[in-house]
Amino acid sequence: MCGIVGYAGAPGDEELVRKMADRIVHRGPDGHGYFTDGGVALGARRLSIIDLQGSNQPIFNEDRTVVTVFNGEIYNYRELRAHLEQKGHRLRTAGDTETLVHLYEEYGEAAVHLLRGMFGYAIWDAPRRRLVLVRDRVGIKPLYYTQHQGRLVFGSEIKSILAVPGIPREIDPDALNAYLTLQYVPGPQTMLKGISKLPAGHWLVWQDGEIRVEQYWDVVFDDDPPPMSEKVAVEQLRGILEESVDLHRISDVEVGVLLSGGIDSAAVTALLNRNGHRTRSFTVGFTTGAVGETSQARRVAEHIGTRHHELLIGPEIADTLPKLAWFQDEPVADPAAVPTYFICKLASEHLKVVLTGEGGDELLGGYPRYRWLHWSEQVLAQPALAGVASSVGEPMAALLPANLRARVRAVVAGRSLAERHVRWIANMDDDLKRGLVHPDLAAAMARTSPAREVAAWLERAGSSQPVSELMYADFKTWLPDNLLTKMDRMSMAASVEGRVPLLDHKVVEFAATLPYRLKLSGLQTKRLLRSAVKGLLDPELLKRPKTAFRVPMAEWLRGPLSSMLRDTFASHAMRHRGLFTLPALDALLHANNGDAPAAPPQAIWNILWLELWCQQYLDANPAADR
Amino acid sequence: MRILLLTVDFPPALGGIQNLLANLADGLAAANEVSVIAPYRRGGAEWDSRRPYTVTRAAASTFWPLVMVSFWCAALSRALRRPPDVVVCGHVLLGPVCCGIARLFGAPLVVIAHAYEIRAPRMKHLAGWTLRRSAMVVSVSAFTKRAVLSHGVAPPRVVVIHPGAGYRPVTAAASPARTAANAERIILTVARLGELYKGHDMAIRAMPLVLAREPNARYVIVGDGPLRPYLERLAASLGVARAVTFAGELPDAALQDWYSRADVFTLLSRESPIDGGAEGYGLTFIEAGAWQKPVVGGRSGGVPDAVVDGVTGLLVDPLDVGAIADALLRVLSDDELARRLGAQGRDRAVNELSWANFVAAFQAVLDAAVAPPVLVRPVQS
Repeated sequence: MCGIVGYAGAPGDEELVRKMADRIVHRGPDGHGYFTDGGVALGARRLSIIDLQGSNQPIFNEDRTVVTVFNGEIYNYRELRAHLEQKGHRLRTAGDTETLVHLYEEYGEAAVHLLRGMFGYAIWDAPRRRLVLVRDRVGIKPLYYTQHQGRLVFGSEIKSILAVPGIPREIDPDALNAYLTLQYVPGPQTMLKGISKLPAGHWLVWQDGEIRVEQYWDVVFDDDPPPMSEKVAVEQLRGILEESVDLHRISDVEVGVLLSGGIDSAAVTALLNRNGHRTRSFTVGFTTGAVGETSQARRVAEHIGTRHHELLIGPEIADTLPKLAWFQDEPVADPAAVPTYFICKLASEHLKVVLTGEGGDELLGGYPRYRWLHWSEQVLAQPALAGVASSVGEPMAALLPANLRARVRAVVAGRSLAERHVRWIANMDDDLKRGLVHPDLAAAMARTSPAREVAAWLERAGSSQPVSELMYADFKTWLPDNLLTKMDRMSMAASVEGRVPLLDHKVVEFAATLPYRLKLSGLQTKRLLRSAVKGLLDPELLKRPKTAFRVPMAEWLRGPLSSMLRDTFASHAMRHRGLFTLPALDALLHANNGDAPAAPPQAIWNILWLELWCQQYLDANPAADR
Repeated sequence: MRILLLTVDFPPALGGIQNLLANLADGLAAANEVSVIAPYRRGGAEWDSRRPYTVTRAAASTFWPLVMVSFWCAALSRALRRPPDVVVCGHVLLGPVCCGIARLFGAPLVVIAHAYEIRAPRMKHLAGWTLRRSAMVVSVSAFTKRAVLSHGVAPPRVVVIHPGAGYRPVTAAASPARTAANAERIILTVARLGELYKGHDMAIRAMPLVLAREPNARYVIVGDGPLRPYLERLAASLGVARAVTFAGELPDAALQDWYSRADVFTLLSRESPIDGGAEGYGLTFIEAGAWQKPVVGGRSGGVPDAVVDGVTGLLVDPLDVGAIADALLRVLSDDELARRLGAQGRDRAVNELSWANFVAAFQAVLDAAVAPPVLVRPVQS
């Protein structure tokens, strides 16, 4: 695990590339290395996990014509090394990074098809004056780029790119529009105009000043797979998960696991521990409110027999939020980022690598909305029923509590699947957003809408099943741009590597060919996963319905964060930033104090988080220039 | 000898098993009186009229009891008119009907075992029940023989006979020379798009690596089925849609044209660890051999019986895209290797695995089945 930086199209300047790499020293405190020549500069910071003494980057091929900087892990590197040696390549290190340059010699950028793992890497092909950037299939590891004054600048994090003088820092109104509704910015955009994410499953080739971005892999949900019994599906899933977890164990340092108390991380823990490894597990809970999952996680840990560590976080989080906004790199207003950072920090006191349970929901149908939206699609396909649903559903929804109201309305009143989906997941409704956004920005933001963007993703799924379309859209946006971005930045902030065995591409490809009916069968979510790990976990846990990992955000905003919120909203910087109207900001603050009708806490969190990020990344003398 | 053959797979339906049983019936009819009971199929009457034996068509339906009753009626009516000397069961699904007719008419039962039908867990009891009641079992490969033995059948009653291929006159024109205008390198698979275990998906996944070294490669799939939309989207997702051709189900002449144009034939079948899906043999390898084509096969199931590794083709781990791509590239880039594998494949198909040899071996099994059993009296001490 590491961080990489670099540029092409201008003379290599080691001082500059060193400055870029220094911004992400937390990603790789164990070492650094640089490569420059007439038209390119590459840099890497290294966190040593495999081949601790060797494998210092950059790494070259035999005649030093191909060079790479690499962030991530290639779990099948031993097989690849044997394959390359058989073909006559001479390998000098004992690690995974070196396979990249030799595989590139054999297959060019298509070599990525041989890799199992998570990665973002750059390869400089000196004879052809060609730079190739590659990001892993699912988007577990990040890679950003921009084109500036004739050069291509890239980095594992945006903050490195901003170290290059003159790169503009301007908010993209389309990105802001999406962020306010979704809490993150779906790729390839970022919050900063001109800076892009290299999408998951894509490579970028730069040559002679031209860039070409191409997809090399995508998840394909099979709409009409051959009939398969639940028993067969469960047995196959178990086999493939065992193989993936074993592969993700590969490391020259100790591997632990983050345990939330939910079924995904419990399954990973159980599979990791199944041969009697006394793995360390880590759980976080909260002193505020009674909503932590610590006791649940403790029971799982006791049942499995891990060496369990717990942490409770409380009022002290207020001081860390600005720092987290800086570490987060692009604003992702997922409040779970806070506990994720603290749990990774706890883990970092004991080890360098943790396995986590991300991905189960998107692949195996873990979100209840899949089922509700699937049913609503079937009902609303009947014109008569659609009329009844909206005429009865709307008035009934008004009687419900606020959190349920939006979802019932989403199901009965959206005009399309995309709209129903966005209404369900939205953090603030359109009325609130309209009132908030500064009029100067509103016109620019009106060009797009999150529903239109989601509709495009549903369309891209190429599927005829609404459930597959929704899972595809989540897999391509929510998963890489929210969940995995959060996981990568927060774990890296603590200099710990997070690994996600449920997102190994073999697991993904298999899960995508399972009939969706099996994924949604029964009244429980993720029944297949529950059945696959039956016997390894406490039967009580397996019966438990899905509960989201709930951060006591509302309690924090009214309690330990209230003075910080007030100060931030009253700050000169925020009031002159020109993003939001001042009366609307004040109204939100009053609502948070309980002086006005309640505002959704997630909406307040989105705005607070964005402002903390702006202070770090846009303002004069920001922390990003450290 | 009067032979009554019951099968659920028979032309004009397409497939390896259909092809095998038709060639068997055709061959046996030369020296025996053959009757076939097969399910109804559009175009069947026309096909049947050209056979030198009687084909009776039973009902075809997804409602299985109806099919069974229909087979019972057809078989009984035929057997009453022409009492069989031996009953041949082409698929264990028809085990109860075949056993019943054999018992009623005092004829021995011979079962042909392919692979999936005797390995699938849901067929376990029916397959075991049928196999244990048969006088002889003909397995298409050593792999299938192991599956048959696992049902508790006595080893001397199980015989492996490798199916063969039709004779293809290979001329210079059958393998068009590569020219600048015809630089395309064709990788061919002929298999129905019905089950993932046939491995079309892995060939598609290997294509980006193949194209990286052989930009003129084109993967042609002959066959159709419910997996096609998925495989088409898979090719698009990997950026290789333009290099993958789904030719669909083709009449024989068009199929043979693809065989003749192919540079390499591949079938990357794998064994499903759970549901028993596997290639029992892989008749298309022999067909490709008859066309003098080198082959790349998935090392699984009965494929090692159909492909002699390093002699008629190359065997690879069917789940390893790197190994698949390397094997295809080896054959595509080494003309001498391709020529040698193709020539040896043809030699084996024409001389060792001809249909005539298959029919003769099968005839010997039938003769053994109808011969009076040799009673061995235990030696009293």
